[in-house]
Amino acid sequence: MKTIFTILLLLGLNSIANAAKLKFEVIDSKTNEAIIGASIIRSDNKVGAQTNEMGQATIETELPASFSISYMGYESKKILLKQYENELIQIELKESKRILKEANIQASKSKLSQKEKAGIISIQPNEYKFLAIAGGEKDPIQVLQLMPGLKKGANGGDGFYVRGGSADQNLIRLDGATVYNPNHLLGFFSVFNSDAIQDLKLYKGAFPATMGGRLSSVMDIRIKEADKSDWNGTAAVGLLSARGFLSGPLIKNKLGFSASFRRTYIEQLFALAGNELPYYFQDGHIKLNYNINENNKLSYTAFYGNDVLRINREKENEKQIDFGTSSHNWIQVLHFLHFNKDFSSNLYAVKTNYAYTVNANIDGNIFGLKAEVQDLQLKGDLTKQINKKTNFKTGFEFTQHSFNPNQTSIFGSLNELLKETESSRFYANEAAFFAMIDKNINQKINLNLGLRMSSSFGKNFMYVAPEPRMSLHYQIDETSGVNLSYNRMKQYLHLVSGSSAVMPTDLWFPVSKQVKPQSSNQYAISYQKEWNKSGLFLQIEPYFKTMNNLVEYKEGTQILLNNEIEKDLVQGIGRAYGIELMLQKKTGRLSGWIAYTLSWSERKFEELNRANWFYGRYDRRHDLSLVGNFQINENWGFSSTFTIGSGMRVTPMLGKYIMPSGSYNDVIGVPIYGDRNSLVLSPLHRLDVNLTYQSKPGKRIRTEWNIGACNVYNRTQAYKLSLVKNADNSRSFKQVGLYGFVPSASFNMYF
Amino acid sequence: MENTKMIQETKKEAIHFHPGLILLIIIFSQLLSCKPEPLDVNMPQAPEKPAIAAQYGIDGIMGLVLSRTFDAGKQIYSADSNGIYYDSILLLSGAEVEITGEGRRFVMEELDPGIYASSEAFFEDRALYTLQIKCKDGKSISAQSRKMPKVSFNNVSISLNENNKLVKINYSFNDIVDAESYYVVNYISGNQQQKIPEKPDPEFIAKRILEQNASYDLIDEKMFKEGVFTGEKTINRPVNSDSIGVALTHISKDYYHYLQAQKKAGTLFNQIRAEVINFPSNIKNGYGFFELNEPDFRILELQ
Repeated sequence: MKTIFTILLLLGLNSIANAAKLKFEVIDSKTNEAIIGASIIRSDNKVGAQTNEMGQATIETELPASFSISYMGYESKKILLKQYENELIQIELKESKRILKEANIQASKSKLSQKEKAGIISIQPNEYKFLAIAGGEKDPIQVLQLMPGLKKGANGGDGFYVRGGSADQNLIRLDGATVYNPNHLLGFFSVFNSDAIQDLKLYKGAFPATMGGRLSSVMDIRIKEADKSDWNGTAAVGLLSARGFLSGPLIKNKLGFSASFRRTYIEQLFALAGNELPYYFQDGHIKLNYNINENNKLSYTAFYGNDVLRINREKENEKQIDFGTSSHNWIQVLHFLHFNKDFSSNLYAVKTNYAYTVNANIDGNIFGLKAEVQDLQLKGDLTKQINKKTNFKTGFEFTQHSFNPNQTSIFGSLNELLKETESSRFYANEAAFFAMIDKNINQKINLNLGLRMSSSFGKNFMYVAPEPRMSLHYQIDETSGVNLSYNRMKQYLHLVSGSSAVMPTDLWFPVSKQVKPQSSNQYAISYQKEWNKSGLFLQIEPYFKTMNNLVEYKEGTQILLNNEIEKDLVQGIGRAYGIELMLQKKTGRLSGWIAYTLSWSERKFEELNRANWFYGRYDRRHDLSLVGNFQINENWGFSSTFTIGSGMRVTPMLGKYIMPSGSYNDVIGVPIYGDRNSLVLSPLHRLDVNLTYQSKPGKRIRTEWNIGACNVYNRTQAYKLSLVKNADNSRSFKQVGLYGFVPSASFNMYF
Repeated sequence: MENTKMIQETKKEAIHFHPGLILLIIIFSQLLSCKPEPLDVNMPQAPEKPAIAAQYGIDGIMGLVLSRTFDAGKQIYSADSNGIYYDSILLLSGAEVEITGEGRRFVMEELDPGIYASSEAFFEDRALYTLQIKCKDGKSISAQSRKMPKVSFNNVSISLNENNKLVKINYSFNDIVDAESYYVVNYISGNQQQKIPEKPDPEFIAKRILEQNASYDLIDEKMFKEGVFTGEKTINRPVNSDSIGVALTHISKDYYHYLQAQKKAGTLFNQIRAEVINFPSNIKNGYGFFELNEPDFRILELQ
């Protein structure tokens, strides 16, 4: 441990700096919003930086020098600085108007951005706004699932899986706050409204020390900064939902406001077709950005989303049934940012709440169930450029988790058979301190070294663990490079899901004296090559990951209404390995990518599968995505995505035999199961298409029509086995999917 | 009250549509009905094996049901408004069944297809017995079990609740001193006679699920206080009977685990939502359980 700290210290202090410190700010030319993550690179590639949450960055270098400023979806810019300026250098970037132009920006990739791509996926809404996406919704999570290393559930839902990890091993953060349930409609949609998103990054390897809390990935989503100079917005109406986004100044150049709202009307559609699906979801956000002064900013984000299902039947001579279930995310973030020439710092206060309720009233017999998890979080960080080659970052996180699982209330005769449970709220805490150094050792080698000390403590337990992180980038030549990374991750919360599906009603549980923290060690090597002329980008990344203290249920565990779930948990080991390939074409009228993953994910528990290794439910050997965008002309664009991959895994029921029930008043069929997850269902493949018409650019109000379809050839996306009645009244197991061909159409208006 | 409030909070909100949009929606709704056909699956099958359920009663009566495993997709019962009927072709007839131990041999006669019994099976407490079955098709299965000593209730009583719909059962018994302390208490209320509603009835389904789970309790040594277990149970009043059966059985540890598994995954509902489970078995070359125990069975009249 001392060695790591010593290395950090030496790397930070071994350079002597006499160069000028330049302070940049990159903003959107139209909205004046700060652009986060923009690259500012000295043209000779000697030094560079990325803008922070304020859109600002400091670079220490000799002058004169020219700098290239770029950001995905914007036209890049070059500036020449001849002499030191003791003021903020503000650079306005112009949003590119067409995919074609966006793609051209990508062609001028720099060394720095290549390094960042290893193990990290970064996307902006502009990148996928024309993609064929299920239901016509521009869903960022669905776009991510088309990237290598990520696997989705069979129907777009059921969570997503990164490098052989389970769904709960992904931390999803919105403006820094944890989102416990990122899904609407069992995962068909995510809770993120693309109109409101600034950018999205997914870390699946090469985790910086600032990221932690889950084993497999961290998804960092930023809501757009409010426009402080002018009003702009989006309104959209689709077949499934309507949404809107508005941003503008409350006090010009001082206080900005943005808000979004989305609601589905699926229940109305079904009603018109004579069917009943009394379900809807809605979500929305409000964000305030306040510029206290040049060096200090304050922002407040509030996000709310919920899913509601309600069935109410009152017919004569039939029992009255009133059934309702709802779940909600409620998030608030207060963010203070300070920036000066010497350092920048962030301070966050976060409150998140996720809860679901189930209520049933059958002829006066009332049953109610509620479960809730709530976080109070305080975190901060400080970034300092020690010299022109070295950046240092340190910070802390403290979270108090509060859990209230399975609180039931019962009224009526059921009360005699099912016991009520009182609120059993309990608490667990997580704390982490981290330090990270990013150093350009020479023009070819960049090293990122970090250490995260994480801990969790509560009643009767305390765990402390070091999480070392390392990422080394070697630039082979101007267009190719290699990345090596090692990460150790710890996870102190588990979403205890059943082996058959991830459900919104699954419960989050913290570690305890009995249930130890999950941990992983991941090794990855990445090769990247770029062909500037053709605009092609290739990345190959093999990885190997070992996991300890993974959590599963004991055989036969009843998940619903189980108030002693901790007693039903077992822990084991796992390993995941594979190779990811990505070939991307960024320029020309035809752009897109091919992503392929070959992977294995295995687990071993003493109490499961007769203590033999078994494949994880999300072990899918092959996964291929083909994504294409074709710009027909200035107005028309066409995109399609084709995905094909190995089928889902299930545990097959090989047979049954009859036995008397324990009460001897009935006969039961006792199931005989095969090896856990040993049956692979049919391959999953589907084609989605989308046609876009845009009005001519340059007008104050721009319009856009999208028409498309998901699962064009109506392929069953098999996710489970069900007993289905055949024509001769016999029954047999069949592979079933949730939905088939789904058309989409939407009208979008930008102003 | 709070539940009602929560339900009210989830009420639908009215949305008004533009006429043009309604047309689009109708087209969409029709297209949405394109749900793809389920796909066939090449389902692996377990090799067919015999399965047994054996029960030792009182006064030397031993019963055994011999059946065979079958396709998991097969529907083994049919239901009408009078009850549920099971498929008899699963039962194996023509087998030779015998139990040996302590120098004795008990041959079990076939009373009905697949049902074998002996009225002279007097077993010694704690003695080890071997069951051997030779099926008509030549397959042989065997199992061993130790006869568990009988344990009796200290007292059992029942009472009806205020609206006469539920029955409360109170009982107690002493832990056995010189043997493993695993017990099952069964509550037999005759509810199998209850008529199945013609239309799906959520209340009927909910109660049946609860009753299945509640029809017996498993008790181990940790649940005793100073060597005495005092139990209380509430069940539905039988529909077509004026009596309730309560049985206390001292069982082996392995059978206790078997019943635990059954409690977790015995009902169809549990099989859908519970984790998969492989039931324990002490049968060589087959499935099921061979257990020699002697229940203390009481029939209690409802007042």
